Parts: sequence; structure tokens; C-alpha cells
Amino acid sequence: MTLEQRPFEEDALSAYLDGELDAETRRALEHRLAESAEWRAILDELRETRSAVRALPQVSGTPEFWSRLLAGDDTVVDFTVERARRHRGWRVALAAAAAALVLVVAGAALVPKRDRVRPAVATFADQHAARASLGDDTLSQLASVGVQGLRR
Amino acid sequence: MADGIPTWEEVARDHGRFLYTVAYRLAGNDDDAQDLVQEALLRVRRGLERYEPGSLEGWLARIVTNVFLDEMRRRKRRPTTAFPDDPDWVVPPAPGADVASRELPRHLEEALASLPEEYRVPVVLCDVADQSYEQIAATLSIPIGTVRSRIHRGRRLLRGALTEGAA
Repeated sequence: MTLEQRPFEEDALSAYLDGELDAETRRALEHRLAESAEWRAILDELRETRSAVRALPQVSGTPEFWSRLLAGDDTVVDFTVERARRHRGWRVALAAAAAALVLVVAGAALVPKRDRVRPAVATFADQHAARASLGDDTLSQLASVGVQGLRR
Repeated sequence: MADGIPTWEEVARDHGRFLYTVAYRLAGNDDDAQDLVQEALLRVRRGLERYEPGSLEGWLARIVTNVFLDEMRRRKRRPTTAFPDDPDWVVPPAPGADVASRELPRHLEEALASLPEEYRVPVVLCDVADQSYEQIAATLSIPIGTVRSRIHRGRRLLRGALTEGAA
């Protein structure tokens, strides 16, 4: 296949207009264009569209926008305020979480532990078992089992 | 300017118009363009120390494009406003726009603004920001071949929209 016969994707035409083809490919494409009226028509349309977009004038925004940005920096400051607000929100959330943690720890310390429960269940059960063993109380064995369970 | 690195104020004064134009063509309206420019200039201010003298406008185009893409992603996660990709999206009037922008060929602006984002961004970077395919590929983190096909497809779509508008 000679250079002139090589196939092209249509997007080569845009790359051609943008100067993005290497010299060899450009020559081959120009050969193709010389032979194909259809490709020349597509190229013309693309060139026209590209030129129209490039001819759009620059847009500058309002003078108020720029003076605010350059002189007072009001808007930039607003961004900073917004960030500070977000950071403050995080700080408040962290403080609340820390306070909640303190409450949980303090609460756990204040809640009576099992062996401090009044009446002392284990002692009570032992006494009950001792008393029951003197009589025919059939609950004595169960009380003993209960005490062992509690002591474990 | 020290060591070829401009100050933030110099960037805003000397390249603000370029920055605003790219932002406006990406966003399609003044309100969003102003937001993009503000955020881009914030990033410029933060990143000036790392700026290596070279194509300042290339750097600015890259920053404002990243701001735009970040904003598009944010809106897609939490959609609150219409997108240019929406079929019913219409470029709103720009009450604060200067005389030049009011006299723009509106149909071309609308056609450009209504291009799907994946085509609009490379076309704007190429034809408005005058970036090379290589620069666009780097900015968008896509292969050069993809840049080439998207620019071409974008121009074809623009052509179709303009032809339909004229009919």
C-alpha cells in the first residue's frame, strides 16, 4: 500500500486543521483530499465551524466582579469564611463526640459493679444455702449452683 | 514578578480575561463562570509557589478546567441544577454580561454550551484556550487519540446544531 492509498479516519481532518499531523501524514491526507470531493466538503464544514468558535470574542465578566475580587477580595474572603465555617462545624462535632465519650466513661465509673449490688446476691445466696442445708429445703442445691455461677 | 513567577494580582489582571473566557465557554453562563474563576484563582494563589515558568495560560486553562470538572462531578453526585448536557438546558440570559458578550452569536453559544461535556471541554480547550492535543490530553488524562476524536466529533455536532438552527 502506498502512502497515498492509506486509509484515514475522518478525525484526521480536524487534526489536519489543528496542525496536529506529522508531515508525512499531512501529505498523504492532502493527496486524499485532492481526490475526494466528499472529504473536501467535510473539511470545509469543519474549517468553517472551527473558525466560528475561534472567532467568538473573549468575555471578561462585569467590572464589579473584578473590582470586588481584586480590591476588596470580598468573594475570596467569603470562600475563607465558608471554609472556616466548615472547620468550625467539624470542631463542634469533635467537641460533642469528646463530651459524649467523657460522659460514657464517667457513667461507667459511677454505675455500681456487680459485687457492689445491694443486697449482695452472692452473700445472700450463701446465707440462704447455709440456712437451707439445716432443714429440708430442696432449694439449697439450687442456691449452691447459683452461687457458683455468680462466683464464676 | 520575581524569578518569572507572577503575583496573584498580576495573574488576575493580565490573564483574567483569558481565564474568564475559558470558564464562560465551559460553563455557558456568567454565574457559573464567576464561581469557576474565583475558585481557579484561589487554586492559583495556593499553587503559585509550585508554578514553573512556562505557558502561564496553559497552566490557567488546566486549573480552570479541573475546577469545572470537579464542579460537574459534584453536581452529578448532588444534582440541584440543570446541566448543559440536559436536552432541555438553555443558556440563561446573562444580565451582568458586558456589551460584547450580549452581541455574541447566540445560536453558536447555545450550540457550544449544549454540547455534551466530553466533547465541549476538548473543543473549548482547543479552540478557545488554544491548547495543543498533547496539552489537552494531559489536562484531561486521556490519550491523544481520544482528544483527536472528541474534538472532531464535537465540531461535527456543533456543525449539525448550527445547520439545524439555521433551517
